[in-house]
Amino acid sequence: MSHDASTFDRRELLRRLSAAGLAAGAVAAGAAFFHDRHTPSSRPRAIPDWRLPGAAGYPAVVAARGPDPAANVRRAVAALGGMERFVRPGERVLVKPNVGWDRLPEQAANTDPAVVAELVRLCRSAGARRVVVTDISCNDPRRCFARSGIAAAVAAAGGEVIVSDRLRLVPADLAGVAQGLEVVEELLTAERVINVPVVKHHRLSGATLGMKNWFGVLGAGRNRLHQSVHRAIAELAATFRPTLTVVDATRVLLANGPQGGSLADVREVGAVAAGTDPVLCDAWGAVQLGVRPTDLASIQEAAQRGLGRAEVGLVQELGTA
Amino acid sequence: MRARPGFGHLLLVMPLVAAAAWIHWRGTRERDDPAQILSVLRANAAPTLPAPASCRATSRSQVESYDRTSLYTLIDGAAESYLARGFERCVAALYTFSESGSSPTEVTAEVYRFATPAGARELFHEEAPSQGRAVAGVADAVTDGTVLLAVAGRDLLKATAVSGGGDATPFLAAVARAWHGEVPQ
Repeated sequence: MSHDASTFDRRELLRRLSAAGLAAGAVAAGAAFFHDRHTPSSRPRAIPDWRLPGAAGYPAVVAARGPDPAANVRRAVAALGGMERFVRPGERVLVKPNVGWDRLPEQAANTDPAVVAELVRLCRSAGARRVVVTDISCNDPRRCFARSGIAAAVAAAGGEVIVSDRLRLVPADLAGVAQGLEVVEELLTAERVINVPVVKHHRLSGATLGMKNWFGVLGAGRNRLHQSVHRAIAELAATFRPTLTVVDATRVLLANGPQGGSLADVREVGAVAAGTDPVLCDAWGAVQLGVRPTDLASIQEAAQRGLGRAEVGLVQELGTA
Repeated sequence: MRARPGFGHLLLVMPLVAAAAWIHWRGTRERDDPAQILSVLRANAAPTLPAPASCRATSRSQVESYDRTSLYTLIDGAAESYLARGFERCVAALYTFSESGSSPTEVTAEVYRFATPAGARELFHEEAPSQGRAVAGVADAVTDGTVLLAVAGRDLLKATAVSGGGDATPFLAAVARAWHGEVPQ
């Protein structure tokens, strides 16, 4: 069959339509494949609320003391009802310690590795499918995770460390905190979140505790929050609602924080607190630092906003093992 | 036949004589001090860290630089007090000292440049270890065996031992001595 240039039959029409369809499909597939979702134009993601409904009969915060940080974690979590109360079989858990600094555990700038590892073990024992440990370090992230002892301890406990240069950051709805900041995507996809700050001095905010620890899930530009740091810390506490907070006061950096370095600035306290009230956890941490909770504006503001209570007397002290 | 020197010849020579006299006068009146020139050049240069060989380190990581907008990525919230004191620039690196028969000692070193010597000195006094001792051969330096702080001119050196194994004073002091020998005073 022949046809001239101005007319074509049904077969030719179908052939041309198929070719055009294939070309359009290829362009669409390419656009979907190469599209960079990591752009400010992406739609901000909502921050989940990871809290569980309160269970009657358990204290809000429990503190345990003793020379073994892992034992302190076990005792405190057990007094809250055990990790099974917070983590269900098959869930993905994100553990957020403070791993900001290229420092040894003895220098007390990062969360103690034994505390982090024990939490990973408890989560795995409770049936967690995956336990990710991450933080956006200030110093070289690989050196921070290695030097702090956290990388090795977490691996041995069955967890997975993701250093910050492997993290994916996505725009998130942080309207109350600041516009345009990005958040670690692993955090947003986790089903349970455990915040594990270390208690230490901070030159700007007075102390680094649990609420301040959320700086470590924010991407570039988080220094803008330093301009009004106490309000920003309270706002972070209103935005990030963890399943559980575990405050590490195994060693406390009393001066020259947040990075520290001198062993003369470190005091061995040997205590860990765990709880579901992040403000009360911070109030307890402030006392371990030698600071009255009423002297930290961030704790006061968070309490006034109803994010928790700042009365340290509410903490159940288990005593020394 | 030779022409005899005349007034015209004198006029031709006069500029050369005047130039020579001016150069001689400048040389005797305003002689530049090479040490001063070097000092000015160094003061205007970026802060520096000593080469690993000059402090007997085995190696040094890549030197990273920070300015007023990126300082917080190195020291987080502590940046605010540095900025308030006129911080300008910073360089940082990790030194490794390996000795046979023992595990390597690692030392982080940071040099902060301020707009004036007063800014560097204020932070030196604020951060110097409370139980620190002087470092032999380095003026204005103190260490407690884990951290060393030294100040010279507009620069503040902060060195921190970040590996176990006891007193790191020899390694901290080696970095400080090498740095002190190069820093603008």
